[in-house]
Formats: sequence, C-alpha cells, structure tokens
Amino acid sequence: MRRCRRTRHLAGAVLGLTVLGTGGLAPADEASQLPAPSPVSAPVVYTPILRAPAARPAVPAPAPAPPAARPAVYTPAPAAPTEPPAPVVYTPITPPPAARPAPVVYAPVPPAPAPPPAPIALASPAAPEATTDDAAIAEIVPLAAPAHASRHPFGLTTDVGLPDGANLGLVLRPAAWGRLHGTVGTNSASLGFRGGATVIPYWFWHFGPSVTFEAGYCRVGNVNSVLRTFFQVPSWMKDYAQQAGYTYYNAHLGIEFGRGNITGFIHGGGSYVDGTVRTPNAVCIQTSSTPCSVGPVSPDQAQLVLRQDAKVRVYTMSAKAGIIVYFGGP
Amino acid sequence: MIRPRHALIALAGALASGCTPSVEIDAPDIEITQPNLQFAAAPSSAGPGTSVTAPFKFTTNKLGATNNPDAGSLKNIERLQVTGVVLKVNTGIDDFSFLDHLTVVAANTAYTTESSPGLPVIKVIDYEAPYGVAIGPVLQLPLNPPVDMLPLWGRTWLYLTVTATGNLPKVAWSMDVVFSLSLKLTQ
Repeated sequence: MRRCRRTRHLAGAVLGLTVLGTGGLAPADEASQLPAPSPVSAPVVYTPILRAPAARPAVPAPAPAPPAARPAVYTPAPAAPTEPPAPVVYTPITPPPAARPAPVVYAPVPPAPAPPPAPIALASPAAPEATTDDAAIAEIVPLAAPAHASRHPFGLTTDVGLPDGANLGLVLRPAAWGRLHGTVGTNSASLGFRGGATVIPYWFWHFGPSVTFEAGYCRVGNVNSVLRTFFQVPSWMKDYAQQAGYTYYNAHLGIEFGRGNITGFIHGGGSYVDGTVRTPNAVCIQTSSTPCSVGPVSPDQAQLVLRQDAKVRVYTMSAKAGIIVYFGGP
Repeated sequence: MIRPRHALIALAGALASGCTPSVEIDAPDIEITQPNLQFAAAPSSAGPGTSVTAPFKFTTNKLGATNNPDAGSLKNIERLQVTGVVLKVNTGIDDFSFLDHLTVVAANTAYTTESSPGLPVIKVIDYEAPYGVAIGPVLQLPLNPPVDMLPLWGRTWLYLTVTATGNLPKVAWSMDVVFSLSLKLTQ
C-alpha cells in the first residue's frame, strides 16, 4: 500500500513534469476539465502539490553601528523578531524594523594628551627637515635668532675708534661668550696693529654686555690734523708734534648686538697711550733779531729741535664701534 | 629711584669730565739754538779782564708760556730746566781760548738785572775757565744740578744776557749759543 502511494505520487510527479514540458502548468480551469476519475479504479487525483515555502532564515539584526571616532557607548539595536516556523499560509513577513541609529551617549572621554610641540627648527642648513608647521615657524625664526646662536667660529671685523683708528681684521670665536681678534689699520698717519679679547658673559636676546681688553701699536708717522684733533694737542705744541707713534691699551665695556652671523658692537672705556713724539724739522723760535718766517728754518734763525724723542703718556676715554660678520664652521 | 633722565645726565657729566685726557709729556733733551750771537770788537787798548755783553731774547710763545700768562697755570709744567749750554765759535774767532769768565743771565722783563716783582733773575751760566787748559771751538758747559727756569716761565719773552770776560778779540766776533732744556708737563 505504501508502495502504491509512492507510485501514485511518482506518477503524479511525472505527469506534472510532462505538463510543464509541454506548456507549463495548466490553468486551474483546465485542470478542472480533466476527466473525472472513475470511482471504481482507485482514481488518482492529481492534486497539485503545493510546497510550503521554506521558512526564511531570520534576518539578523543589523550590527550595531561601528564606534565613532570618538569612543561612545552604543545601545545595541533590538533584535529583529524571529519568524515563526514556516506556516503553510504565506504570511507576509514583516520586515524587521529598521534599526534606528543607536543613540550615542557621549561619555566624557578625557582628551588624549597633546603631543609635545615639535622642536623649533633653526633656519640653518643643518636644521632637520621641517614639517609644514615647523616650516611656517622657520620663516620667523631668522628674525629672532640671536647673534650668539650662530656657530660660525671665524669672522671679519671692521671698526673705527680712538685711539685705534680704522681697523680691519679677523675674529676667532671659540665660544659664544668670547672671541679673539687681530686687526690691521691706520690712525690716518701710519699703519697699526691690534689684538684683543672680548668676553660676553650673558646674552639677552639680541644684546649682550661685553668686556674687552686690547693692545695695539701705531707706527711713527707724520701727525696730521686728524690726530691733533682727536688727541686734543694744544695749539702751542702743534709745531713740535711732527711725528708720533704710540702703543695703546684699551679696557672697554660695551654692548654687543646682532642677528644671525652679524654682530655689531659699541665699546667705551679707558685707554693708556704710551707714545713717542719726534721733531725731525727744527721749529723757529722768534728772537729779537730773527723773526720767524713761513717755510723752513734758516741757519740764521733761532730754532728748537728735539734731540731725543719726547715721551707722551695719555690716560683718556676711548670708544669704538664696529661690526663683525661671522663665517665658516659647521 | 633714579630716573633714566637723571642717570643719563649723570653719565654724560661723568663722560664729559672723563673725556679730558690726562697727558704727560716728557721731553728730556730740547735744544734751543741762538745762532750768530754778535759781540763787538774789544778796544785795541783793552787787556785781560775786559768784558763784553750780548743780549738777546726769545719768545716763549711756542713753548706754551704765552697760553699760560699767569704763574698759577704753570702748575701743569712740572719741570723746565736748563741742563747745559754749548758755545760754538761762528765768525771772527777760532776758539774760546781768550775766555776767562762767561755768564748767562735770564730775566723776564729786561736784560740782565730786572724781572717782574717777586720773580728772580736767574744766572744760568757762571763759567770760570780752568787755568792752563786749552779750549777749542766748542765749549760745552753741562749744568749739574740743572737750572730751574720755571719761575720765569709764563711771560711772552725771556731775556738773556751773555757776558764774556777775558782777553777779548780786537775784531767783532760771533758764536752760537745752544741751550739744552728738559721739559715735563702734564695737562
């Protein structure tokens, strides 16, 4: 009997496939026009088998929204209702309610510690590659770079002052707090040389106080109006001070100021000058019989000569201003 | 609290006072030469012991005295001394062998004997020729100790009178007189 039902079902399935192969499913009214089964011979009723639709898997609830950039507490969305076991009757599946955006609860999250500021790069060739922000800063840095930040150990200097005259020389700066210098120059009458040391104990931004000690020498040369003016030679001595040379020692306080590799300075203080005055040409002395005339002194005129160089020692205020341009080094 | 303005004024004052240099000049050997000092010929009847004088003066203008007309300002001159006198024959004579005695006297107002009230007449040279010693054409008379001329400084002129005594030449003659000075001054 069970075998017979299986056969019937098989036959029905074959028939169904045949119908499908010949034209598809027959409409219901056509099926109803099939000959009625004979009640005698176990009529086979072809009942279209209606398969119950497979139960659809439950739609998984949407995953909770990924955490935002900032940590937040998310309330999980309600799980979609699971479908009941597959009923025969097609029940429209109610789509799960759309997951509402989870309310974001902003918990007070302590801000992450700010990264330390990038080191300010100096605008020097050795400076590391700067970021965008650093580059912006670097454009300003040269304006604020103090002079002592420059690491150039050598320099060219020029200055003008008393009793030094005008000088040009070299500077050696082993450290930011001090430098040595040697110069060659002129006092407008002769060639001179000078050496010295400057100590700058502190730098306040672009400025620094300084102490300078120097020694120099100006060879004997013809004294001119420049020297007479600056050394305040009395008028009555003018004729006698025909040639002069001197050794000098300066002790100066000063101010250094500068930016980058350029430093200016103003020094002032005291100087000791040990000089020599010569009178190679006789000076006319007016007498009752021989008045002086313009020009060389004749043998018939009373005259004065210095048989031995006069020694002149001067303690005087002195000052100097100059500039240094540093170069070289790393 | 010191105001910047006051501090600046004080600094300027200090600098102004300090800007006057302290000068010390030491000229140990200055020579002033009076060339061709003329002496008249002695009378033919003159014998030994005859004297003749020759005055001259020179200005101290170029020695700083004119700019210091009063003695008070001479404090800057620390030393003005005659350290020696040299006589050199010029014309009319070959040497100084005729000299027995020579004097050089300085004054500040007139020859030989007068000076301003309170100022001395300074005998610069008082030379006695040594007996039996030949004297050449150059007579060097070092002064030891040096003669201080500072009391006479400060006037425009310095008057000097040279008096020679001896068996004088019967012709006019002349000599050069060289004064060696030592000067030290501060300013």
